[in-house]
Amino acid sequence: MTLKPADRNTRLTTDQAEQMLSNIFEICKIEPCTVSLKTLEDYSHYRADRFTLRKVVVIFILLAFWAMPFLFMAPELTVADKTTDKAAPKYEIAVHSILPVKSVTAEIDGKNVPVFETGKSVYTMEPESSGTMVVTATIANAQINTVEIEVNITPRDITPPALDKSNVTGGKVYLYLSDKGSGIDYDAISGLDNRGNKVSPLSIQKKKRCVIFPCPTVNTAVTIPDRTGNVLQLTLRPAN
Amino acid sequence: MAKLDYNYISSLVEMAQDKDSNALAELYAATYQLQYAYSYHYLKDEYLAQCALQETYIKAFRGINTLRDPKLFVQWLSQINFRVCFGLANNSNADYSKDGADGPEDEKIVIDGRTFSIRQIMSLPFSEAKCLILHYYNDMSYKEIAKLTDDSRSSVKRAIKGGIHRLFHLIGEGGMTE
Repeated sequence: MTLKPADRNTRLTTDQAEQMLSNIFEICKIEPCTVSLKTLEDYSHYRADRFTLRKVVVIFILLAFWAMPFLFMAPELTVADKTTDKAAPKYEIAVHSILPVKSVTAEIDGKNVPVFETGKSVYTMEPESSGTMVVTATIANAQINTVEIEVNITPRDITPPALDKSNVTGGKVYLYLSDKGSGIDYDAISGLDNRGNKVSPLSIQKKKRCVIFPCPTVNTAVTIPDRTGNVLQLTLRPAN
Repeated sequence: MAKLDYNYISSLVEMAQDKDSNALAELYAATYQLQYAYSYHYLKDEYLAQCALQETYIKAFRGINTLRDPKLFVQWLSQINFRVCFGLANNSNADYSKDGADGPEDEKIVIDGRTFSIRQIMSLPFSEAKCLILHYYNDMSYKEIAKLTDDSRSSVKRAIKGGIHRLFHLIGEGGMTE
């Protein structure tokens, strides 16, 4: 038997189905049900959909619970002092977090300090002024953490020693010196006359900050350095 | 059509086996549209399909206590429906409510040059037997069978191939005639 292709009308109406069910109960001699077919179909307890919806809801709730800690997780910060020159301090901040770092900022007394990313979640800053530097790290969930670093910058000594006073007594030249920076390097004080002869101090009185040279017979260049290399150059001339 | 919750269906069957008419009605509500669509596609006539549908449910409600595994209710119902449609298509009045009952199953079908009776084909798993009969007896294409059974063409093809393979094995056991 060859069957023709079916058309699309393959559904019974609820009324037809209800009538059929009534016939079936009558023929089978079964007491009719108390609920209408339409109500049973609307109830649709026999459908698997609601259980799928429940599974989706449960999975969503579980995901939300799992994700909840990440919403409030703050980053941890560790500070490393990488200063090699006290005049130019350098600090390295490592941000520890599962979530990506959104931003790292630093400021001293309200002034912004440039921050450079020098590694994976590692940031370097070189403050140029002393004060309390506040470093703030923000991660993807908008949680932040801050750390305060006391910055003390020792200015570079660029001032040479100064000659406070001098006098000549008993054939000796007394030079009284001072230095506001790193201090006078007494051991390196030296002289050179214009004949090329080295002239050394007769004596050095560190407590008095006094260096004593012999009265020169010819022009003598005296070099007085401090500990950072700044130099005071003096010329001692013979008394006529 | 929406997927069925087979655990819930199973619980309805258990209540129906205890003569709960509301459970029977709910089983009917859950399955009648699918069974009607099957009958209509098979018989190609809405009045015959309605007759088949009513007959199917009468047999199912009367024989529901013979169903050993409630979870197989839908599959069992489909088998009854298939036999009813097959019988109607062959103008038969045989009773197909119980497994193994006699029917117009002595008719012969030729498959790949060999002849088998419908009875022998019906001894195969239901999905394979159904597809073999629809294809070789009712001359339905894979596409028509797939539409009728709400399955894929590849599944139909697989069922037919599997059924033929199983049938040819039965020849070796002496269970077939040519």
